[in-house]
Amino acid sequence: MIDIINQIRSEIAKVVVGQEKMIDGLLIGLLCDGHILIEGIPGLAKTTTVKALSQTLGLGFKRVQFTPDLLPSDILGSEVYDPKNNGFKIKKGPIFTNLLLADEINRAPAKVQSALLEVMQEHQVTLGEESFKLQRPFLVLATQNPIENEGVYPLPEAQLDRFMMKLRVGYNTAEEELSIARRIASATSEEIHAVIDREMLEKLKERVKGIHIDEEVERYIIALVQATRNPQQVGLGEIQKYIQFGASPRVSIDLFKACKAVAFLRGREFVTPSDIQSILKDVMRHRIVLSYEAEAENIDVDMLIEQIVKAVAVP
Amino acid sequence: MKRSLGKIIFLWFINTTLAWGTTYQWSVVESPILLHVNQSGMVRYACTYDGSASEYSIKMHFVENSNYTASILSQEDKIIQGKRIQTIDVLVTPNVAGDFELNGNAIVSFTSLGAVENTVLGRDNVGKNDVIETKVALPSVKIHADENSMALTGKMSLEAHVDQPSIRGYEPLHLTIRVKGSGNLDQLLPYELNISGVKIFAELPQKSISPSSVGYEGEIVQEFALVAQESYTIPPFSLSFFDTVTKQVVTLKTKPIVVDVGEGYEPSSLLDTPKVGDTTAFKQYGMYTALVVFGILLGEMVRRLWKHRPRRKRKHFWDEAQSSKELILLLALSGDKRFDEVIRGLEVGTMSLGEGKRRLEEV
Repeated sequence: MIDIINQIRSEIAKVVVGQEKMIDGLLIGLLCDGHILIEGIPGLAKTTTVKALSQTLGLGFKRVQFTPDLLPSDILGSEVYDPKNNGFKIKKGPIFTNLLLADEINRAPAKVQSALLEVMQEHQVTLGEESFKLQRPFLVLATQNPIENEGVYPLPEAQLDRFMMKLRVGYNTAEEELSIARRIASATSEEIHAVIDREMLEKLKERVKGIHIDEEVERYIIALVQATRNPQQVGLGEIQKYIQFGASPRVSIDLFKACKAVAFLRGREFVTPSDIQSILKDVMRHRIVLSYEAEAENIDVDMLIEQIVKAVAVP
Repeated sequence: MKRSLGKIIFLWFINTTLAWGTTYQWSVVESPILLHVNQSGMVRYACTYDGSASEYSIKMHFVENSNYTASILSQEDKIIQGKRIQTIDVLVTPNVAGDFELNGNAIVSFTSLGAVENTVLGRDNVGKNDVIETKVALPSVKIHADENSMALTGKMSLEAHVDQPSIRGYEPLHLTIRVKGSGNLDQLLPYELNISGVKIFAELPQKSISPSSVGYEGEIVQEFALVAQESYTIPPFSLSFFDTVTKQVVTLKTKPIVVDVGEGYEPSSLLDTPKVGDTTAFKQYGMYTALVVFGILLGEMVRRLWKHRPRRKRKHFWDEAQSSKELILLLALSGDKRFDEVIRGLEVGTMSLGEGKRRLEEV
């Protein structure tokens, strides 16, 4: 099974250099049916990676560039008048796909974001009097640019909670960047082939679900989540003032699922604490609401998570 | 137009009157009556103004004459009781016997204060009539020159000496001829010296003379270097001149100088005989070699020390890990996939903490 994952990685590596952490994050989302929010500055191959992933899976892929004048119907679809039949017919929007790339999701107004996020949760779209179930798998991969403040609509905390993971994409290493520049300069591009189909993907998901997680490790996850709500319980009373709201129960659920995927990607049949630790920041960082004190003192949420992880006893 | 011309003439008249407002008078203060041919004498002229006369200056000029030679010796300026007196000493040397009259001119230059101011301020829009020159004939001086056949006149002494009475062959002997006194010393001709069997190297005379009322005063020194293999005698030197004090021709003569020349040095005696047992040179060479070797060794030692100098250890975020669990935690938190293998090794237990850290250094 892990060979298939490696094949997916190899296919993506044909067009994307490095960014292994982002690719793993996307695979985890894929294996756990979790939506992914990718945050990174422009030019870090976010769109390219998502597109390459969809091609390797042989799944439907659509990309929507979120803009301030975007309407919910531009994503979901709408009823349009059909003069031939003298009635209305349904025109489905780009949401009807397997992998939807919502580029710069924070550029669209709140009603568009809400419409999308509702679909993300329900996996169903109602147009007129008719409801349509979305095809499985349905995965939203949203990107947002962290360096712009003008003309953006930040996602509300409740809606951010719908995303299983928030990946932070960093710059490539020097060697990777050299390789990218050479590849682009020589204009050599390889064709990506689909290496798995829907059935195989479903099998992989079943396999991930079957990964064993020990009770101690489960309790470790709960302890970590609880520590975000009451840091003083693990001797971190000094960071209490920085956290307005701790992680929601969705974090526990997603961690249970994600850590299994991590273990699977690492070729193991059981989860270890390191699997949780390695995925914890991605699952938690957008779900902890910081206080004004934290913003005033420029406290980063990742820093708080690290402190919590270090404070909670490892099984 | 006529009125303007009248104004100009009036102003010129006023200006000229003011310019010549100061008067002066030339006189001969001192003059020889009798000289001999080639004997120099001093004539002192004085120009006495009736005021400070700061705007005046004088240039002397004597008409060239075959009977005598005249040149300015000195010029002095002083103010006595508010009156400026300029004295000019002229040196006169008769060339032929008989009576002659010394005739000369003086150019008296007058510079107005306005002209001085124009020059100081650098005004360039003024006329060129800044200096008014007036040629004045100097009072005549009559001098009689007696016959004299000698080229040199005055009062002089002659001496000649050598630096050592006896020398060895090929060694140079230094001979010095010194003529001292006063008179027309500038006319002294250099001495010539020729001695058979002696190589002579002559220098030009060194004249240390200065003008005076009788011509020149001071001394003239001429030096020779003589090299010979055998003894020889330096012939006497003579100096004939007309003594202006005794009014007679005087001839000075030095004594002949006998130079005893000993046996010269053998070429072999001039060279240092090499000492067979002398190892100084070898010691020096040895010392230099040892110094070079020492330098090389020192350089090598410094290079090795520098190579193995204690360097600041690069800090890593995993350094603080005290146990394998902590190390796994830190590595997992970093999210870097390069650490996955180390994490796996630590989890399985195939890798110790120290080994894990070492592996991380390689990563």
